[in-house]
Amino acid sequence: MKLFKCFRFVLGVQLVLVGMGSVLDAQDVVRDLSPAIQQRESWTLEQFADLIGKATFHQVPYEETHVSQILTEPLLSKGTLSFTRPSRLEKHVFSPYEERYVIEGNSLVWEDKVNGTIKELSLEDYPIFLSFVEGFRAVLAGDLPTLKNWFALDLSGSKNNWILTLTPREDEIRQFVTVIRFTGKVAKISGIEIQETSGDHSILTITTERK
Amino acid sequence: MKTPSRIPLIIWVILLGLASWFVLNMTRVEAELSLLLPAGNTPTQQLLVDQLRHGPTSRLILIGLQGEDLDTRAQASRKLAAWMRESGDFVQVSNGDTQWLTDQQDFLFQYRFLLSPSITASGFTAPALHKALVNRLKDLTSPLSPFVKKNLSRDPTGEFTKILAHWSLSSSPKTFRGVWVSANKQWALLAAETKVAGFDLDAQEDLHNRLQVGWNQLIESSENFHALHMVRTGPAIFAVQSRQQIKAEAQWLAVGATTLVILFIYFLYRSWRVLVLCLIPVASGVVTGIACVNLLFGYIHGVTLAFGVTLIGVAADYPIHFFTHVTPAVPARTALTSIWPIMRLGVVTTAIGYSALLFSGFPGLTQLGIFAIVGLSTAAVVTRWVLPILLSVNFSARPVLGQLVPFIRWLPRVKYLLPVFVLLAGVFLAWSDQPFWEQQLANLSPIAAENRTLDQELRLELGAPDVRDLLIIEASTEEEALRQSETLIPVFNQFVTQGILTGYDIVARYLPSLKTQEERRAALPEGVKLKEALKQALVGLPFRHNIFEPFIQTVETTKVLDPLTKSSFRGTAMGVKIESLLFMRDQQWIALVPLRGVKDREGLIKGIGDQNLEGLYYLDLREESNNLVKGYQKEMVKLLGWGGLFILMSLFLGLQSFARTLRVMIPVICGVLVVAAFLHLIGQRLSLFHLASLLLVVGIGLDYSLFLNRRHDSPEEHNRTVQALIICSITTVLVFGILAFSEFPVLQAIGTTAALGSLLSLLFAAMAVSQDGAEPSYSLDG
Repeated sequence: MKLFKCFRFVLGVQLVLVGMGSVLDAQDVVRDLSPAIQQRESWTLEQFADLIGKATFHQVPYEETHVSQILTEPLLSKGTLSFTRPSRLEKHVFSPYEERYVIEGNSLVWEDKVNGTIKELSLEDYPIFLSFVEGFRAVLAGDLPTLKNWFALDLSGSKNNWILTLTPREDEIRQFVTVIRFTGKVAKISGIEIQETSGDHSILTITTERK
Repeated sequence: MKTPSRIPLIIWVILLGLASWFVLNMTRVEAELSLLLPAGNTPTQQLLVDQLRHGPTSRLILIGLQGEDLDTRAQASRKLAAWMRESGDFVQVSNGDTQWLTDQQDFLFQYRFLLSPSITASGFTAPALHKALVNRLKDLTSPLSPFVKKNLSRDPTGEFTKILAHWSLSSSPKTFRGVWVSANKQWALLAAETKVAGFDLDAQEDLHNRLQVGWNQLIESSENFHALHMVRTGPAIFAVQSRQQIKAEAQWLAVGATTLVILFIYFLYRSWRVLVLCLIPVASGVVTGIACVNLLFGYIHGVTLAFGVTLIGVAADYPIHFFTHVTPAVPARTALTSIWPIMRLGVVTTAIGYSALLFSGFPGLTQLGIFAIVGLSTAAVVTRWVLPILLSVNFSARPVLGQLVPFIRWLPRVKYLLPVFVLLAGVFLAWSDQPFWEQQLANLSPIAAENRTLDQELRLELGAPDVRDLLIIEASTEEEALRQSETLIPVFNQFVTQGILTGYDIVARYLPSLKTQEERRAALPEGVKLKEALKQALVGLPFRHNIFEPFIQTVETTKVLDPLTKSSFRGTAMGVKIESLLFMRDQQWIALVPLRGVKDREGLIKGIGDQNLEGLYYLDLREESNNLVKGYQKEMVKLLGWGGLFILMSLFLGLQSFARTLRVMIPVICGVLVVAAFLHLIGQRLSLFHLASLLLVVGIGLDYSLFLNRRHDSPEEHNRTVQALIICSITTVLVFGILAFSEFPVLQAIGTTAALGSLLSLLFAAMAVSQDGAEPSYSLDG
């Protein structure tokens, strides 16, 4: 087992998702788009990237369901997600145990509120991980080439109800994750689903109520 | 006139032929500086020299890549490391990637309950297990979740992560994209340990050339890499560089000095024949000297060779004395008979002086002593018995440099200047508070200071031990050494907290003693007990109960695992690390604890002393190597003292008058004193090489003084003696003056000392000479 690589990779994917979640709350920028694009039926990756790249983000609440073979029942967790340009990502878990993960620049701070411990690690120590964070930032910036570097992308549905499917290109990554699926409406992301190679999966939903 | 017997000529030809053949075919020239070091007097010094020559640090190469952007450097670092690993020349190549950890993961994972620092019996109770499991559940909601999940059922207490965290304490550099980079990110860093020994310079040079070729191919392989630049430092790199430098330097110095002397003698005498005759004794001396040293030692050191050749160059004085006294009126044999006793006394006393070097304990200096004694004696013997045979009956050299003679003969009128000079020198030496002796071995190195600084920087960045502070644990068994180092871990952690040092590396961090492994094993609970505790711990948690079977099983199998020893790691990267920190030497086990960033040496020494541990030594390598040099300096001064005494005695025996002996010796002693003061004045610190050169000055001074003070039958003959001495002195100043321009501190020291010494010896000897015809001059019988 290549524990180290798994660690880096999965950490990476998860953090990408953490960040992606906040995209859900991107302000509706449809009004900024030219009428021509609005009227078109087709919904392309370029348009998606363009929308996301121009969106602004707020802190949003989420609910996550983790279904695993090692658990007798699905593990439910709640918290908030946020992204601040250019590089700050935060996942704040409130239940079942309070924890906070903050990525800023190339550092990850992990605060365990129950045990009162704070750990910090440098993303630079974990190449795949860093690539993912950078890849994710590229998504928020509408940088398709970087994202395509790591995933095969498939966009289906319409602009008002789309599904973006990410299939990892790297073998190392595929050992853990088969597919990542984002769903959303225009510039708002409403859910992220991770299908793991082991059969486990998790579904993260952005809840509508605001804090 | 009787034709001289040809027998000496025949013997000479045969011997020189044999010696030349030997020199051409059997000579081995070594250039490693540490060969100049003595083996050491104390066990710590022996260990130090041993480490310098054989230790893993001596095989370490530090590499820095510069230029282009961070990404390109990281990419090049990975390619270079892969190429180096592939080459098979290195025991280990590290550039930050943790591939080795991945490769040995299963092995380490299997032993996690013996390796983890936190194994105690209380860690397996229900409350402790519950706490651990809650942490695992938290991990599931974190971005880490799939990672933890992978090992969750096998390692719910997270021991493996603890081991990795514990090991990463030995500081490693920052990384970018998985490769090491400097703090300012301007460099990508690599460290490698060569398979060949650090002192095997031929093999090291080959290896460095191959590495350079590999690197060139690498930068050719991609457009992006063209602007990349590789620097390498490390003891072996420096040794190879200094050898090349010494070689190159010695070559141009030898060629330069020889050319200069040849031109000088040729233009002086305008005769090829004189020139060749002058060179014959010198060449014979050099060849015999090299052959002798090689016969006795099996090799000759480059520094000995360079110094020795120039030193024997002064043997050109012998034929010059000889020729100057040959005139149409005075045939060769008569001239030779008149000067030979003086020449002989000069050679014998000089040889006695050099014999002090034989006992110096420094192989380089011992070699030099042998070289000088053998070479000078040969040159004198050849001058006495071979040259006359080669001279044609009507040989005479034209008188030269006569215009300088009046000046030298005028000098006794200002003999009061001699005490003035000596007084000034004495007062200056007594009053100066500059350090007199060179105590930093490093300052003698031919490696430029900037390269040494670069080496320091790379070391610091790589967290490589800075080759200064070292703790040595000596024990009779491997187990004992491991236990001792285990007891030191908390002590050193305390030192780090107190700010005494910033970090350390210790073998017990990677390899626990058998005792500790046994204790950890004993702390593991019985299967039934563990199952019960786990059952209680799982209450209220959503984990499936049966998934922890692998955990219970590993605890069971750990109980029957063979404990880890040093040999368990053999052939792995961790094994190399352990091998460098724990090894056997002279039936003793030695654990090294390299310390980093020591700020408070006094506090450290006190703190270690408080431990009251037997077989624990702190070694300040810089201090220790300087002590080593200091010790030998003392020894040398003592030996030179004895040498001086023996010279005095032999002079007294030869001259058979205390007054004459004194007259001959006074200018020599004054010369040495003033030269030492002058060197001090220009900021040079006296090293062993200065001392050896001062010995040369004594020899030259004795010669000059002996010749000037001998009884001359006529003023004309006196003029000839002075003439010869002027020529001798100028040749010596020319040869050693060139050496003084060397960038290599050792050669520079020798050059300055000898050139100045030769000049002052002549002036002082001339000042001290009794005025025309006055007592006590002498003649010696052949």
